[in-house]
Amino acid sequence: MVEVRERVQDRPTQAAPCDVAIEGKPHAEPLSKDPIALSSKPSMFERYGKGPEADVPKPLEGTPVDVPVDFQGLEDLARASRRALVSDKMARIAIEIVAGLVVIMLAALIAKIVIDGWDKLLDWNFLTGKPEQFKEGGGIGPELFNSFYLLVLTLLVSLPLSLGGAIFLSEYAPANALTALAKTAIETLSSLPSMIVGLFGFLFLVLQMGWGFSIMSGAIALTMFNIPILVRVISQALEAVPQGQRDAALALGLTRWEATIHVLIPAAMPAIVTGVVLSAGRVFGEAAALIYTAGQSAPALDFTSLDLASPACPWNVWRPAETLAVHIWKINSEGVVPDLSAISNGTAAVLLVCVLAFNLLARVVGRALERRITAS
Amino acid sequence: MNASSSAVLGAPATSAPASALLATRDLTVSYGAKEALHPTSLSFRKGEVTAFIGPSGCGKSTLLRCLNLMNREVVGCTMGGRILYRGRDILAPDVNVYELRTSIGMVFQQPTPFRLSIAANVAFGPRHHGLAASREADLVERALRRAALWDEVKDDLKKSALALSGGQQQRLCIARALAMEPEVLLLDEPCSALDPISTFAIEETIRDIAASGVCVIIVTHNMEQAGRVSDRCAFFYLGTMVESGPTLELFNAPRTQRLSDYLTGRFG
Repeated sequence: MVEVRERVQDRPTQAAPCDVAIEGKPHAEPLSKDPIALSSKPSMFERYGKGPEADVPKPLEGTPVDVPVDFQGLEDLARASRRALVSDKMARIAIEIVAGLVVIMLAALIAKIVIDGWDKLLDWNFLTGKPEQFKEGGGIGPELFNSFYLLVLTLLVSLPLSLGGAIFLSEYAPANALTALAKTAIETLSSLPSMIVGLFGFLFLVLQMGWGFSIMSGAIALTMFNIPILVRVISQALEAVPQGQRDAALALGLTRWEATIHVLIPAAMPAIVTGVVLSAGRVFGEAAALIYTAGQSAPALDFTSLDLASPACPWNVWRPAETLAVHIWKINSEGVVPDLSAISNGTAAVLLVCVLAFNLLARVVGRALERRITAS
Repeated sequence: MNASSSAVLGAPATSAPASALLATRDLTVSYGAKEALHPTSLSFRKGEVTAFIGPSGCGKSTLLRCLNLMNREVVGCTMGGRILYRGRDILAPDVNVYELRTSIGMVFQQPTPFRLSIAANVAFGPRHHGLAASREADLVERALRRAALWDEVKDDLKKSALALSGGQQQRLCIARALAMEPEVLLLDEPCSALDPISTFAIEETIRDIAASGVCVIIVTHNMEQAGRVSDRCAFFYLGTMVESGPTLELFNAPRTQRLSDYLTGRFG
């Protein structure tokens, strides 16, 4: 009863008559005690009746209360919506469980890697020292540098090529069979096993071209499987820019090329940065393609050397260069140092931190770039 | 061809009147083998607003996109006849379309602000055509004032244009086109994505722009809008320019049954 009165007080003149009909209890108290009765307008109870014994005017012809209420229909409806609520809740719980499992698995993996490698991760000698062949206590200094150097070189080669390819495919290429073939080829290349790329690099770059195991061979091999990913990501980003942006730029008298450079690329920049980060992550973690191209040895580096022909010069692109990922593989497959599991775990942790750091860096750079472009 | 379609918006059909800034002569547009616009001859003068009206797919936007040669960007689109701008045929192969578009501006159906600040959006065109940085602030203010947006954005010129409302974005696009000081402004259903208040603001702006001596051509679905903003009107149906003339005459005494039916809402 109280419930009914409260609802009526909320909206004294507009309360739906069926509210009373559904809640359906007779009015027990005298009308004068009803706060609503004090108002000048007739209360809902006066107008529509308050129960079987009520002595109040009948509702007017044509008012909604005359419409027979389909109680069965209302109950069915209520049951159906209860069912929908339950299934919605269950679906939500199921999704949350799955998502939670994924997060737990990933978190556990990361925690395991970081915990196992924690000692080495904070050990400056390990991070900068040179690897040992037989003794314990070797470091990963050259490997760490090589990983970054190789990544930068690979991006230097693959980014301009991919940008060019993506711009051509999305902005210039006529919609014909040749373009479709090129797109299919790129899709196929992007799922090419890295071992194949590595063996191709070994046969062609290392042997045929005579480059030997070198950073250059590694960078070109990595470029080969980096390009398809980048081209796909960049051309998708460019295609996602609304046609109106192109039209608007052209209508201002820009050429197609100017429109691409000044409007489309800035508009696609966030997606391009994401693509670069993704591909960089792959390059960082790549081992198979590098074993056969950049080699498995890491000559000690002398950072004071600027003699580009010397194997000790860090910037020499013709020296063999083992990366972190290759180091993990090599230590585990043919390492003879006594502390190999500690080194392997430490390297894995360093690799993980590097990938994370690169992602953060790329995001910061991307955001700064965007701010520069959008607020100039 | 309908007799009236060769009539030049109330002027003699023989040659472009001296006052016509822009004119089409038997202009046709085809997509592949299909002729989307049958021979059309119209003239447009400075300081006047011309509206293209007609049901969807009648060729009015197609014609509009010829006037700044945007159709050149569409694969498979060919144009025939002549488009005379200042007496010169701009369909001639030696015409520099990029230069042409600096004096024939265009605003599209959906607002198309660039991912730039408000000021950079307005200055975008002039910057690319060699505007000195020292003149930029003046030019931005002038263009925004003409588009009736200055008072709303003068304190936020460095903010992103994407933060503006739809109506403001569309006026920003008008300001961006005006910053090039065009002689002709083409508007392709500029209000179809906007609410009535923004629409009203843009219609006011259009009248002011025309009053400042620009030749304005607007495509619209909305008959009331055509009545409110335009001096002259051209009615299109199925790729044919059926009737053209001063808007009031056309609306009060349509010469063709089709326009009469369209005006009374029998189709369209």
